[in-house]
Amino acid sequence: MTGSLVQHAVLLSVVLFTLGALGVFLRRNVITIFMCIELMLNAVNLAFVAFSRSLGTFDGQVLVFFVMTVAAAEAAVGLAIVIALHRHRDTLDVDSFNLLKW
Amino acid sequence: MFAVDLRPLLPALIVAITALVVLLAQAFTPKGSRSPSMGLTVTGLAGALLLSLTMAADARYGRGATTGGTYVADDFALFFHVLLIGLALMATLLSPAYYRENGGERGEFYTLMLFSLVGMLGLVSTTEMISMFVALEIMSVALYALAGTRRDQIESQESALKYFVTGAFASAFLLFGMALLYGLAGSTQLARVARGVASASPEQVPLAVLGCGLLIVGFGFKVASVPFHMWTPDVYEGAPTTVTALMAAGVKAAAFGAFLRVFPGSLPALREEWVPALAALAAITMVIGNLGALAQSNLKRMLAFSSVAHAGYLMSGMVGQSEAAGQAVLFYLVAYGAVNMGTFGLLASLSKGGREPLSLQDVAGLGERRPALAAALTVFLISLTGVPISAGFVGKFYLFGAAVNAGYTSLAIVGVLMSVVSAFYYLRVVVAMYMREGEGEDAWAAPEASARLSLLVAVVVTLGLGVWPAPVLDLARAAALAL
Repeated sequence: MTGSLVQHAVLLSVVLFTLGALGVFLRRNVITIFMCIELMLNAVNLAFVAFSRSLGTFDGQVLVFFVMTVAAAEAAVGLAIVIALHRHRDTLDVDSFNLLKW
Repeated sequence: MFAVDLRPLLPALIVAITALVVLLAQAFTPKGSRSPSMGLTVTGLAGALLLSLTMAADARYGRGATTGGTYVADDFALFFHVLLIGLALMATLLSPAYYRENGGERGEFYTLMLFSLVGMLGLVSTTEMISMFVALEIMSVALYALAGTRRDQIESQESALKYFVTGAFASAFLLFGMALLYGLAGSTQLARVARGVASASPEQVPLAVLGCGLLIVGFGFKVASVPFHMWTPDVYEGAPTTVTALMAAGVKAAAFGAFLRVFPGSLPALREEWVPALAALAAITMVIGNLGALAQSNLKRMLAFSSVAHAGYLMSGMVGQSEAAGQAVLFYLVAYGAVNMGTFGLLASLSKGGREPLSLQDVAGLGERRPALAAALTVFLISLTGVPISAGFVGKFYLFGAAVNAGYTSLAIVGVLMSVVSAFYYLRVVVAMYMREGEGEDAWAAPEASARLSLLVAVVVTLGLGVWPAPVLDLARAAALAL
């Protein structure tokens, strides 16, 4: 029972991770791209928790706490950068940030 | 009885405390009076450097000690400690003049740079994946902000955004790789992961290989290898030049440190799988990096592509057998670090009143008007090309030697051919400095004493390692053996 549960969880995590990665490439709004990256991180969290449960070790769950903390710190810095850019350009469309060739 | 040996953490702790002190000192310095940031930063870094050297000299002071099985002060970590703290010191000496000339002179640079250094030191010292991830993020998050420190300049902001998006994206890949290896081994300790992978059952092997692949993607972004290099030219161009110097020299060194610990250090069981992948990446990285650099007219962009190319050279060394490969990569990181800090630092210290020397025309006539600086830049460019008597030559010799010994002769051939190609775009700068007439007035600043000291160190290291590489090679060998 636990075995198949873990398999399903990891499968779901792979799907979420792929969706997030695709979103980073396909979306044009910085905030949406940022949300896609968060989705990828949370997909990883799901995998860690699932593995942790099936293996009976706590390393994975500890890591999840660190990932959440780091994601919060990243969000703070990332949004600050977005605001700083928004002051120069009144848009959040990545295609308009083309001063340096992407 | 539960005792934790904190000695391995001390250098990083000193740097972290310095960062906090600088932050507070900034807040309590009255407006108009001279800021103590630089003095404090230099003192703290010098202390950390001395401590690392003492630790490296004697086991009594912590050489070989571990903190809770996750953070070690082995020869490998201490080698990188000395290198990284040294690079940070050089960046600190170069920065104040640059920021004064280009605006945005604030204390944040020092604090963020020091926090980033804490992450770099952690990255090369951890033997466990949770701390490795946290260290990587400490380093990266501080750098995202550093890239945007020229608030008035939209290029700087844009560079920060691009670095942030690609960096966070790469971290997610790295994490997913770690998750798969954890699922296999049941532990985040690299030593346990190594055992888990070595004893994996046949149906578990694909999982391990996939985990390895995702880790290569993650590290590939951080060391700027093709096809994960798209961010490099933009970020290097837009970021303040001294920050670019730190990114090119320090981040690359720290990321390769972790790369070495994870791959040759902990996944030797999967050599069959990752060595060919790494060799292929190294080859295309060398080719695209060098060809990309050929097409650039902006010096910072050219050096960014050159940094991509050098990631390729370094990766071609990594395909070799663990110890020789480690020695070659470590030696080259020292050579490359000093040279890059010197090149970017020199460009930064020439900038005057918001105008940076960015095109060939901007450095034309430098040989006549600033002979010493032109000579220094020539030394750096020669070393980047890999001409004998420079550190770059000895480094490349060992890197390609490691590749040949591992049976990848073709990789070495690609590397040598590409080095020849690279001579064209490096020497173009030298030609412009000496052969072309500059514009009428003198558009360059005179570097101040601290910047000159930093550049002098870079020149001495570059030439010193080229003429007499034996001591550093021995140290690099000892460090590689500790893996």
